[in-house]
Amino acid sequence: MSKSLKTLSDDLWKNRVEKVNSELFTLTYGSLVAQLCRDLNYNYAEVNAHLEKMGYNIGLRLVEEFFAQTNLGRCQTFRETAEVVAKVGFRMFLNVVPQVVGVDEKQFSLVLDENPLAEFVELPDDGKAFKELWYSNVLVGVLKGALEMVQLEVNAFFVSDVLRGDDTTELKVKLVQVLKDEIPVGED
Amino acid sequence: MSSSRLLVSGVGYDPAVGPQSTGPQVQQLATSTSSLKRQFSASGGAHSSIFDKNLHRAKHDISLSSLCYLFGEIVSWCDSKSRGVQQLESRLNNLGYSIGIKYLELTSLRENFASGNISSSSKSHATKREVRILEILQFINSSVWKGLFGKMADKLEKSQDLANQYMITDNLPLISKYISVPKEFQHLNCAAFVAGIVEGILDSAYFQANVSAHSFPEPGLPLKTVFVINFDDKVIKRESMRFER
Amino acid sequence: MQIYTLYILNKSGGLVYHNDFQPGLLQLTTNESLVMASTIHSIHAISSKITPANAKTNDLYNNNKSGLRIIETENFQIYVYQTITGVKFIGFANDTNLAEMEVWFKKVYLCYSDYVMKNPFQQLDMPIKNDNFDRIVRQTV
Repeated sequence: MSKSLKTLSDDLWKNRVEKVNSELFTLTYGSLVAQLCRDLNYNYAEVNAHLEKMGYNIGLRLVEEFFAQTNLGRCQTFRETAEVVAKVGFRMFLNVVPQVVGVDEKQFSLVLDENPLAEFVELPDDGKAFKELWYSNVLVGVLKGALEMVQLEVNAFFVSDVLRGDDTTELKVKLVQVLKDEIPVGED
Repeated sequence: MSSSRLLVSGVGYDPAVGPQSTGPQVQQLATSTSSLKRQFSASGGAHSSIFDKNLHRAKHDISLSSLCYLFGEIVSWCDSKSRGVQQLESRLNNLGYSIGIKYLELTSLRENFASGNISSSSKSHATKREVRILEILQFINSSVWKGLFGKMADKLEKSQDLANQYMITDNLPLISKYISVPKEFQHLNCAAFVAGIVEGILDSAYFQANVSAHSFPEPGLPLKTVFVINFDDKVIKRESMRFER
Repeated sequence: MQIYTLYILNKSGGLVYHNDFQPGLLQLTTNESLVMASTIHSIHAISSKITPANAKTNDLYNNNKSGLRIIETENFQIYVYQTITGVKFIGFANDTNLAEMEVWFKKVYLCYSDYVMKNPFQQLDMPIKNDNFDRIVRQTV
């Protein structure tokens, strides 16, 4: 399974995905976060929530391209979902493959060794940001939104971030429920 | 609304001072666009700092889609906070501006590293700085566009009517490739964001200007965009004093 | 392959997009189009219920495993393609077959994911008014 996912995503990346230097993306995301911090008076809880909301909106949209490009079907298990998210999803959109750790039928963690969102970023040195701001929180929203579109209600959150001085950047995803009634008819 | 612009208005490249902030407001900015000097002295904390990393890093590509989704959300967010097209464009412009003022420093540093003008051991500042309007515009038209969008801009022209006006044309601005502006948003061009980047670069290079993005759709080029650059009179005056003798 | 018309239906069966590709087609009223869309949506759902559990699908890309896929008339056919997320693309066509149509649907789905989903002015599940998308879809026919 995972071998073929790698082949699939390699092929997608090489032949299908239109690529762009990540620098503009990194700078754009940075200017967004900085502006949000100013707009929301450095209330980082609100900044986190806002980033998640924006990510959620992205997730709802991005999932269509994911399926249009990959031709993948519905995952049979949550383990499989974890693999697909890391090996195909992250690869296809951010060109990185996070490690999947701590995976079972109810949860998994993604460990990001590379994070294009946070390249050359340093958190504000105001004594608060290091404890309160989850700089890459947009990713939490993207996962929630995209998985909701395949009827997986999840709870997702960062548990560590190298920007805060942690050793790793880890994003945890927990399955809340499968929204069975909302699976489109004929697609099961 | 204009607060973010106010914040950065003091920052610029003053040839008399060097790459430093020039205004009193800069203290409030310390967290986002502080001067290199301050940043270096702030490094060396407990965790490894970004300043320990090599500025000249391997190029990492990502999917254009990711940039488009992110930019799309930014447009929606700016729209939700704006009344009218003008405010929306000026918000986008401001966000781009905050990128532009950093980007010039970054690209020129990189280019100089690459060409060996600066080495970590010597303190030589053989950095080449563009001092003529046409040179800085060509630099934007080629190097900046390539760095940001992976292609050169399509045309660079001087206005025939106005001495202080120049135009850069992009037939297909990458960032608005998939955006379709509804009729009620007449004349909106989301590349106002890119105009902001250009404006930031010009301001930080001490070529104060206003830059705006305008749609000029043509058959086959429905998203053709012209970036109109209006330099401050003092920039034109300086140029003529220096070079037109 | 002759493709006359494309409908796009949102998850709830609402008609959000309608584009005619051939000149001189007889037209339905807006109301009739809406009825057509929601009727196909309903029949699709109902027919899916009576699909035997062990029925084999010989699908290429279509995720529409058990629902309605083709309606035939003497002179044209209506093809139904459903994505995993529940969006339906409906093609009115002639001189073609399911496999060929699915390749086309696949292209349309890609255009949709680019030009509709990446347009910040597009509200989800709402009618699609988008010149870029119109143009790009037309190029696939």
